[in-house]
Amino acid sequence: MFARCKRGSSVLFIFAIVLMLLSLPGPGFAQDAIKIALVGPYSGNFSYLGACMEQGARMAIDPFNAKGGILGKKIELVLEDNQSNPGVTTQKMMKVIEKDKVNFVLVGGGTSCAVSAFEIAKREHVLTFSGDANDNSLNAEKANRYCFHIPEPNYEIVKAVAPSILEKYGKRWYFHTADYKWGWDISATFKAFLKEKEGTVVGEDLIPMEARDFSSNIINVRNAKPDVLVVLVGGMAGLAAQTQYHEFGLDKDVKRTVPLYDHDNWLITGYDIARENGVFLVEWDINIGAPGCKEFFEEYKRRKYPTDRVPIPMMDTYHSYIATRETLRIMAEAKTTNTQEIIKRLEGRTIKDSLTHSPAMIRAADHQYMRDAYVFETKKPNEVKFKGDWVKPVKRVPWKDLYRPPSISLDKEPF
Amino acid sequence: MNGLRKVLSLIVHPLTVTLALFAAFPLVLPLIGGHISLAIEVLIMSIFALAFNLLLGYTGLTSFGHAAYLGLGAYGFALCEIHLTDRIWFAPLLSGILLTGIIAFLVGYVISRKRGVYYSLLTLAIGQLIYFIAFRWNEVTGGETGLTGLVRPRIEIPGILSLDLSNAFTFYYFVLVLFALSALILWRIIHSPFGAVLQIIKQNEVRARYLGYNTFWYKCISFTISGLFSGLAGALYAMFTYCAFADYLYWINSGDVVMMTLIGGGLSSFFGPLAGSAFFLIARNLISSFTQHWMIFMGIIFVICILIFPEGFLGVLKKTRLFRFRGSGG
Amino acid sequence: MFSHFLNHLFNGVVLGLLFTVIALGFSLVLGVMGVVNFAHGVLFAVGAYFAFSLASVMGFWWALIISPILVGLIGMLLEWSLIKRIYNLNPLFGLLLTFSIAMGIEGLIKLIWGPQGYSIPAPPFASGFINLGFMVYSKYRFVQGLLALVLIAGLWLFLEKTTYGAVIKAGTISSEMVMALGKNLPRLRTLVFGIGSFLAGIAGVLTAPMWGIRPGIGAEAMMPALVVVVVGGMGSFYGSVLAGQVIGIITGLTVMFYPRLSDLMMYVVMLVVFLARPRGLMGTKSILEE
Repeated sequence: MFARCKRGSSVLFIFAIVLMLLSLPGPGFAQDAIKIALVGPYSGNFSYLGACMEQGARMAIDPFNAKGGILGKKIELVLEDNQSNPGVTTQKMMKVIEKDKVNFVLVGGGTSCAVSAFEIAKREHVLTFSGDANDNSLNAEKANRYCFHIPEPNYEIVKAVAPSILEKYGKRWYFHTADYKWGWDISATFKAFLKEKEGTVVGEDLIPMEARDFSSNIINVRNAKPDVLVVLVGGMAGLAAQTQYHEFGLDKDVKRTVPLYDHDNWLITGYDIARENGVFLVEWDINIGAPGCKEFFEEYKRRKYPTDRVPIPMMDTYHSYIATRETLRIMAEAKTTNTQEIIKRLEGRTIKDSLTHSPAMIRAADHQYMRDAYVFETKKPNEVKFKGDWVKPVKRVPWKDLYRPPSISLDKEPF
Repeated sequence: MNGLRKVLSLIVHPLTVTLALFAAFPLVLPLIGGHISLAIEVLIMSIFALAFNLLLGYTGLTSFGHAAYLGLGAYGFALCEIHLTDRIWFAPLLSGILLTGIIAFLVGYVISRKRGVYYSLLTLAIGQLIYFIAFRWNEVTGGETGLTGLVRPRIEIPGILSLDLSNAFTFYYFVLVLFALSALILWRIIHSPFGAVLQIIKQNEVRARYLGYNTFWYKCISFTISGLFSGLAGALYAMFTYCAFADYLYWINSGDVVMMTLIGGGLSSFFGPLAGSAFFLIARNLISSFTQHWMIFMGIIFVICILIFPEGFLGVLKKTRLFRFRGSGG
Repeated sequence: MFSHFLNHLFNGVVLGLLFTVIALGFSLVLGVMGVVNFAHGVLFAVGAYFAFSLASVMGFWWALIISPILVGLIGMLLEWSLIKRIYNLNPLFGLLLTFSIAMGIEGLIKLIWGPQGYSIPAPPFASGFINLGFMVYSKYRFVQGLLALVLIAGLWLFLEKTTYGAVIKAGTISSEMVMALGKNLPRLRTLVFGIGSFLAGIAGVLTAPMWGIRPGIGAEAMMPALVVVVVGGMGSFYGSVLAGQVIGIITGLTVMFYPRLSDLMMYVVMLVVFLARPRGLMGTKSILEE
């Protein structure tokens, strides 16, 4: 048997050499830099948001690099496309942690990606920020001491915007819900609220994220004749949904609202369609009228970031900006890049220049970024000054009145 | 004197040297700043490719939905860990293997009457069916979010050893041992009377039947064994990534393993799949670290490989003088 | 409730017609050259992307005509340069070659148009809805269905009533005979691949407003092509039409009752038909069958 094995063994030998070569460090950036990874969606369902997150991160990084960096090191941004997919997020996170050895990570692409990323962050002890997921679990059961959740959780979104929906439209609601974790979560939150206010859930369609054909869902809504259609679908699927609602003339028969506003969606579908989308929560917009917003927009324009599809900064731009800026500030102030030191300083941090009315705060107990919520509606045609300038605030809910108490105590946990 | 020479020749034998190399290089890695994940991934995919080649290279059956069995292994592992236990260290691994084996047997039972392109298209359909079930059965599989947050069980054999697999190097050795075992078992199967019949079926199934062999059962068992080892690979993959996603089952990944196996030379060599999986994963990893547009390059490389040497790397090597050994037949 | 049902039924019919169009090109190549063309899906995607780029320049109708022609030309180029080399080998190689080509072209799509998706609206004349009294339906769906029917009818006429068509049909039965009869087989094969690619491209243009445009739609379009061909029977034109309708309608109606299962249904149908009648609904018995 051994004689016969000789050829095979030689092959195995080569195989082993190859494996060794595989494990060599690949081409990478200079080790002597502060590295930030952006694992975001450049393709897939949330394909416009990767670029938005990148813009926000760069707007935060460049001022520091202009002053010579931090602790004598330049700050570099490592970009990875996670395709809005949690499996790919896992791979890319491991890559940026093992190969690029980044200092912290910004993750986007929705709730599933955030959940995957949070788990890896906990295991690998890497500081991670979620830039665009709203699921309730992210500042509760899925939270851990290495992760920070910047966007508004579903509970707070519902609490801010549901009263306005009720007031404007009525008590009989029909839901179009994205068929994945975020969708189920926010739908359940809305239904609980509605039940409390003696409203009725007239019906619900679960819509898969790759769905592009909404004709049957539109038929269902028409038949049910609700007071309002609550659309809980985002990304490209949401875009397709809104386009088809308009195409099938649903606008004439049924009022609708898209409670969590996706700027990019509406900029692509156009003002006519966006106008029908009721009252909604915008996590951040240049029109909220808070100090610093105008300057931020000017800087955004100065960098020539506006494109035809995304002419104004999105909330994802804002989230990445805040996360990156504050972390870098801490590094500069405390003169350290040690992850645990940074985390301790992020916990309980108040941010005065948060581009919102009240100074924002990162709650120590659940690592949730708390800021004022704004309920918006679409401007009338004569109020629109340029493309993208479509929404105006209707109501502001200060964060102190909005956020429910935390359900965990991360700051008491060991690292 | 003769005994000493025999021992010496065993020590210097290529196989021994290779195993020593495999065993030693994780110790070398920290010195050169490398990381071991890619090597682990190649070993796991090699198990999968070897399992796949049992069907393709030795039974002549092209399964175009084989990624489903990798995925089932991952889900079997995950579901056992989540719902049953993560304390008995071999339980999740065994669950992954068994779940896949059982489903592979059922599928094999259904399709083994067919052959040729019909067989392949059936495997594709069934593979996609399993994918969609995994993707849509949210309550069980987590749907799009998948099953995450898995752990690598701590291996406890009382009195003998206690291993913490979350250490990458320990995990590497663990995978290496399983890889060696799988390769050994598959080698023995192929070089057994059962394996010989499989190869007859590959050459000409009708003739095999006329010779009196019940080809249905041989094909079915072959498919099941392939499923068992694919399940092992899948369970290891879930351990490696700490999660299970429906993606693992998508038909494009099935195409990837067919590619790996063929390009490496699986049709004519036992070790072909190893060469193929290493090549595929290196190429993808290396190219994607240089450019976002790695798919273009991979496509071009594979087109060239298929057109210029369809018998695969090892097929080509077999033909060249360098690799002719006296009295060899492997 | 009845109009509800009718709507889903109509959706199913239109979906079925689109599936048939996707499948016909694939079936043609499979029948004449015996090649399982995994690049068919990516050519579908290229058709959609070309339409996206062309529509803004020359309007929907011109895009509908020019885009598939471009895809057809690309298909012919692929056949002539690459695919013809593997005709005499194990069919597995054709499969893998086209799979690799599909990978490469998908990479090219991402390079040229970017990895993010696009959405194109229905053309202005066909957007909005029609009120038929007993039911309200999307205008564009109607137009899609009509165009698909025209296409299928046109292809049928071509195959049945022209000499080219006759030669192609002969090719699906025996390429050797065709060659023996003096026809230029290589040129025929290139032409057939071109037609198959043209059909893939035009299917892409038609479905683009409905399915959206992403690099991944190619892989997704492969599945209906395969399933329809297997269910309908390899090499059968009427089989592809019938199978398309069966699968389309079942998928459409499943959306009404169990929307989550709708993607699955085509595979279930394929499995059931396959086990009960391996040659397909209208295929001819072949030695590959048991």
